Amino acid sequence: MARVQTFSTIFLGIFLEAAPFLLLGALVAGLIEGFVDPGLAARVLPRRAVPAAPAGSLPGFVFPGCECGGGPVTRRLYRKGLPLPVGIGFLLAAPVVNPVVLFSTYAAFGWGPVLWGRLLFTIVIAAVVAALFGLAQPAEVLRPTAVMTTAASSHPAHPERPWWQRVPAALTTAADDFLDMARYLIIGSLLAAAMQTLVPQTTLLAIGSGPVVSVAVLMALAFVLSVCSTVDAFLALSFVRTFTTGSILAFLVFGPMVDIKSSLMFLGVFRPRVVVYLIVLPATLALLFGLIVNLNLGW
Amino acid sequence: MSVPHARSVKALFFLALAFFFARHFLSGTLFYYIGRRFAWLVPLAAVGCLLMALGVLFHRPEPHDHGEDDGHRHGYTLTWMGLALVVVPLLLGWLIPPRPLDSAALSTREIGLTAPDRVATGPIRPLSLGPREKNILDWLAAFAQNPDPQAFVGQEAHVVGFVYRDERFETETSFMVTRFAITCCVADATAVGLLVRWPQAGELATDTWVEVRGRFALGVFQGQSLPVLVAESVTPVEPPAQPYLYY
Repeated sequence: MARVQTFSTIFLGIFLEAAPFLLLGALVAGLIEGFVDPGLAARVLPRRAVPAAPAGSLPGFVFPGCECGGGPVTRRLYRKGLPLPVGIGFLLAAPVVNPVVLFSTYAAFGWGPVLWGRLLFTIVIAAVVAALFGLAQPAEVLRPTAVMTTAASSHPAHPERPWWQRVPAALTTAADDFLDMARYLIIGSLLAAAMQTLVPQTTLLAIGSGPVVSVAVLMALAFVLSVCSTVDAFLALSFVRTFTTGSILAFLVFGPMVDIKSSLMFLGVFRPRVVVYLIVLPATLALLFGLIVNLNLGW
Repeated sequence: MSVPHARSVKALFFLALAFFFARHFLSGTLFYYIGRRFAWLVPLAAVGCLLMALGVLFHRPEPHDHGEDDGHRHGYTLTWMGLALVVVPLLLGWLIPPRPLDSAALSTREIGLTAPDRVATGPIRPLSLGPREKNILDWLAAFAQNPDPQAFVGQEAHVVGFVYRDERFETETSFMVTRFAITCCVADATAVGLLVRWPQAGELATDTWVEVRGRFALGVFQGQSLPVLVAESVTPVEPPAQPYLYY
């Protein structure tokens, strides 16, 4: 019974700390969905491959949200003629490079190497992967449905409706987003709370202090848990005392780019062959950065 | 299988979630779970949930359908499984009475007799605090700054914490006065404590909150010499409104 109490306290602790951020992210995403025309990004972004690759990581500031919202937005952007590398940079970076996620990462870790490392590594990995796609110029990247233009896709977001009807629509989008993402947060928090309640810290330390193993383990966990990037920092807190800094950074950088949820979304936009690269390239780079951090002591 | 009357069920869920946030904030039990810094977000989240409940109720879906793949996100279909998952926090909050972390949480972790790294390298609160103002974390920070335990002998201390004991020390005449310290929320909690000598230690129930008044003497614990608080009085007290220390 005492353990149930501890489990419940830790689980609700993560949930109460994270849920307001999830709500904030969902509300911002819902309002943008309702009020901002995604053609905006297609118009302002550069079109040539080399400047486009890093630029693709920036619209997260206009279209914040987590990995859940990226797919549909990217698909709309491609229909508006967005170059391939820009869309890839956006898909990989936008879940981290946006105000809501930076705010929640700050809430969990404060100013410090985790916050800055997360931002920097995400931009670098997104830019490198995007540039590789730009230079390789692979043929037949997108799924046919992703480029098909329909009459509906030229609509901006519901222009015909007055604002007082768009607000409930935006709130409903936000509510649906929250219900969708809260499932992953809750599964992740249940697991984190169970781990803290049942597994001795000495066992966790044995796994978490290995410079290579720790990175691989937390990356695998990030992939499986698929927790939204707005709240994954709070789950990472469960590992701060037992896992290496490099592995925590890899968790926070790789998870938002590639997890079960985003892989399924990639399959909705790109051909399967391309999806393999979109998983393998960020994984390799995140592992590399995690190792660099772990082996360069002083962090 | 999708849930019938999904719109009303969703609205009801967000109302319940708003109530859940508001109740923990107003009753103060919020501080059993998260730190002070971002507690203000919780009442805002309650307001956000109310707005979303209203939005869901007043939303009229568009008459014309956009088609399968127009790039808009489509409404999330609430399934029984999805509903069961999102009500877990509400159910746990309702079925299990809110209590701060206690000694049960120490079954998987060691209790720290030294300050956490970040406190040891740079104390969070000034070391110049008077002996009656210093909490357990402040004392551990002071110990970290001055490695000579002899320097603290005779200093007066008043600290509040809960009683903890284990097989590593003589439980009839000593116990540990303990607090959990957090930076963000209970997920990163670490336990810190001072060793206390008290002839009637055996009569104190584990997890009782006590105020300990006494002076430090030189003690030895697991081969290490360290300051030990020799109690002059140990008084049971109400658990503090903020059960955790922050760093």
